[in-house]
Amino acid sequence: MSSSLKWRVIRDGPRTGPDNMALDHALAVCFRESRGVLRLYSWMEATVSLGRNEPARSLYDRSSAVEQEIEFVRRPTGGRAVLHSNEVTYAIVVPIRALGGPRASYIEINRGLAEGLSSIGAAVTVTDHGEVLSPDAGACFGVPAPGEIMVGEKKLVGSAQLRVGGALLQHGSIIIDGDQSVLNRLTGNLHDVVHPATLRSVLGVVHQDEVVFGIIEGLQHVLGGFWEEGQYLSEEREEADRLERHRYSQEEWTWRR
Amino acid sequence: MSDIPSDLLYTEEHEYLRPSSEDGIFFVGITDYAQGELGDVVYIELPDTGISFSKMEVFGTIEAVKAVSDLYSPISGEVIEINIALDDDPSLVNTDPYGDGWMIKLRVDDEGDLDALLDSDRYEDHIS
Repeated sequence: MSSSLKWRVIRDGPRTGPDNMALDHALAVCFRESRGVLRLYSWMEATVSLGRNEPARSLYDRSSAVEQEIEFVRRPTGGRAVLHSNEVTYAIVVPIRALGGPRASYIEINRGLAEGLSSIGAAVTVTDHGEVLSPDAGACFGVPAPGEIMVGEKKLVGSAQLRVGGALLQHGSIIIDGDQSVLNRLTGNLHDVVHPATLRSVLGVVHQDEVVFGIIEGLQHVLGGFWEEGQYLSEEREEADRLERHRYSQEEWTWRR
Repeated sequence: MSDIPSDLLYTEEHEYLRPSSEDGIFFVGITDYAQGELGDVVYIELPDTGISFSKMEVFGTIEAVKAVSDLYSPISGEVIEINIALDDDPSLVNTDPYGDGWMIKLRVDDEGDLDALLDSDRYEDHIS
């Protein structure tokens, strides 16, 4: 279905939470028909990203987060909290119908990610079951939704989507190493402790470049089309600057609920 | 097969407009096709009453299994009521999109603008 898309791969470095969310959102706002974008990036500091509609204002111990040098940002996408630290983060932007609608896209993209992770030796599966959870149901990695990437019974990749205008944004975290249970402690152990799978626990030594290469290869194979490396367009940078200033760096956005 | 009632008007973005018993006032929600595409709805963000929206302006968001989508006003008008039942049970959008799953009641600025919306046949063509 997507074989005619022309893909641009942007390999970005570590950035702040507001920068990262603004860039993902800007890529969606500035999407072009028949074009896809894959952005791969990381995080400058440990950051909790909150789901767009997730209640958070009275749940998190923000002074404890400051002591632990953990930042917060609120995503444009749905779902629940993720602690980003040692991971590869991906963002994909496509025309909204290019991969067959939101749910079909979720499955197609995850098939590509799963193939890429399998190619580097991770024995992952894409689950066909899961639970429908509201935004206040605890951390993202706690419970899988249908179509998510698992290692055994543990979730390895946490993803979420935004549909804006004619574009679909899906972004998510592929955890190399880290401890998502920090999230539980920041909420006073409100929810069950979460220990998702990590690539390090599955593979041992993991190099970020190897993960990035595998992800690109897997997505190319499953999604098809023409792929080339690229950079941000000037209008994407301008939109990202605007979104970073007016939304993602603003406390009133981060703590809106 | 999606339900497309013949007495409603539709947008290409899958919102509908259903006449109320009051002149110039319409219920707005998303279509059966749209709720089926989204899957289980878990949260809906609606505006305050008294706010006016232009045609195609974003009036809220809907979240379904981690996917957030903007909701677009099908026509220019003022929000005179929101469906507070969706706070407690957003799945009403799935189970009864044209009935209890309505989202806002809109007082339409200019009923002449209704001519630009799709009737059920054209909406059916749009989604087929």
